[in-house]
Amino acid sequence: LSNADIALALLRGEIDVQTYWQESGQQRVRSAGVLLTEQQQVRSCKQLGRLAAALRRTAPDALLVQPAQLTESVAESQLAFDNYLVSLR
Amino acid sequence: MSASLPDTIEAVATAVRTGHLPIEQACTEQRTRFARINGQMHAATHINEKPLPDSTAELSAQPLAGVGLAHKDIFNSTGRHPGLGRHHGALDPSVVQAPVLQKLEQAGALNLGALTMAEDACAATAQTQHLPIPLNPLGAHLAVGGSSSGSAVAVASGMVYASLGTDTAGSVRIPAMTCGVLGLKTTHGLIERQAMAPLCPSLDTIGVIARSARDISSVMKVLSPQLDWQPRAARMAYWLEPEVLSPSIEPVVRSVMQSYTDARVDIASHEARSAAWQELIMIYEVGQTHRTRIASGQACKQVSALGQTGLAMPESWWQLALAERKPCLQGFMEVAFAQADVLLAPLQIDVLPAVDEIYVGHPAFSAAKLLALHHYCGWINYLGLPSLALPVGHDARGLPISIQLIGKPFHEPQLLALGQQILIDIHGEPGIMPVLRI
Repeated sequence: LSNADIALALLRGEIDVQTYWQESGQQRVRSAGVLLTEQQQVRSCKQLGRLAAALRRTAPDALLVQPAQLTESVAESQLAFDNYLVSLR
Repeated sequence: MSASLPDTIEAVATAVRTGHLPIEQACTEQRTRFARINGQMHAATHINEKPLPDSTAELSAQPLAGVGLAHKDIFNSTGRHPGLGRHHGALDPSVVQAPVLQKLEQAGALNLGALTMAEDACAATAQTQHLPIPLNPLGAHLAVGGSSSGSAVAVASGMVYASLGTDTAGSVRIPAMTCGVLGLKTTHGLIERQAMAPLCPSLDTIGVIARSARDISSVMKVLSPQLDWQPRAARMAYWLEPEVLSPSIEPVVRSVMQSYTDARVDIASHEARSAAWQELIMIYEVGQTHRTRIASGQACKQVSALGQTGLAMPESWWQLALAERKPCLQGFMEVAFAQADVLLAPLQIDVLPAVDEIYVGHPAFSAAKLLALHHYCGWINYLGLPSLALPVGHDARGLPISIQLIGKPFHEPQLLALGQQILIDIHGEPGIMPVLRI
């Protein structure tokens, strides 16, 4: 599984947050040069799990996206939002 | 406010422009007042003693001539790095003033100093580790909200007429609410953020805190002259979740809302969805913004707690949150503004909290009461909409109760016109006066 697959699987509740942490999360934190204590790691896992649950509850349709559909760049998303805001002027 | 200083921005500027109040006198009196009240309130991290230019004629003709302002310590000012709630700032002749402060100065405003804030703009209260905590002018036992804490205290206590703050998840509206004044969170992208320290670039906005919507308008007309400052009358709707609000404030909130409109909308699902995406973006971007400080152990507790999770978060979640932003706003606009221009919505959930209840480490600390402060805030940042925090009544202790007016994008003039009308309906002329109950 790619990182994007794992990330979406966590959002959809198909894997648990501990699996995500082992497969991807821990590595992301380490590559940022951050070493977490066990307590900090537990807190981060809880926050990620809580966020994923909140999104499953409030935005289930948005989570059906396929990894390949996330190719729209961040800049494109931001531009689309900004342009829409301006259109409401 | 004092023998010669009028109560409103417009009145000060008019007095200076017409020669009834020489700008030198306005400057001296406001600096004296700023320093004197600050001695009691601990709102300032820096007091500006820069002399007026030799020739003041041009300055005296400007729209904010002689109006004393001071701002959240998050902007570069001439020759000074901001302190960001970490320290008193650092002098450096190479630092160039943020454009937003430059605009106000060119419009004749006096920059009286920099105002304290929650460290790195990342907390809902005024509590800081390294600087004195500002007091709430409504009573020293009452908490001050954050992160633009010094701005709200300075405005409520009469140190200044208005103050710029920043709002990422309520950091203008929350402190305004806790100090009983008004706070405008502006439309995403309306005011340039150059030379302002970022927290979450996708969500950060600059806002204005003042004692009236009219004073906020005076500042906003300088910062955003391109908006339509002759707004049409606003059609209103309201949204209320009575079960979420404390019985101590719910009847007041409901009564005020229903006195202005009987058009009720239900936006609960839009609010919940936007709030979840907003939290995701905030956590991710705090991690990215403060990556180096987190890694070196220099970040404050709040930044570390959010940012560590942000660094572990998959980038694709953040991409998805940004991709969903436009459809979320589209859906919200269709429901909230189908028959209305302004939405009256809750801001405050319970009576104003005491220091003991929401400052970490105090005996009666309640995480739930702390979280309640920004319950109704962050989702509006995700949608990018303007929102005005407005005191509309009092609880049994006589303390203010606030709601927020949410407008369409770039419709700040309409929001402020309605806010001023409601303020006068409820508080009478001239509106909210400075208080010092400490």
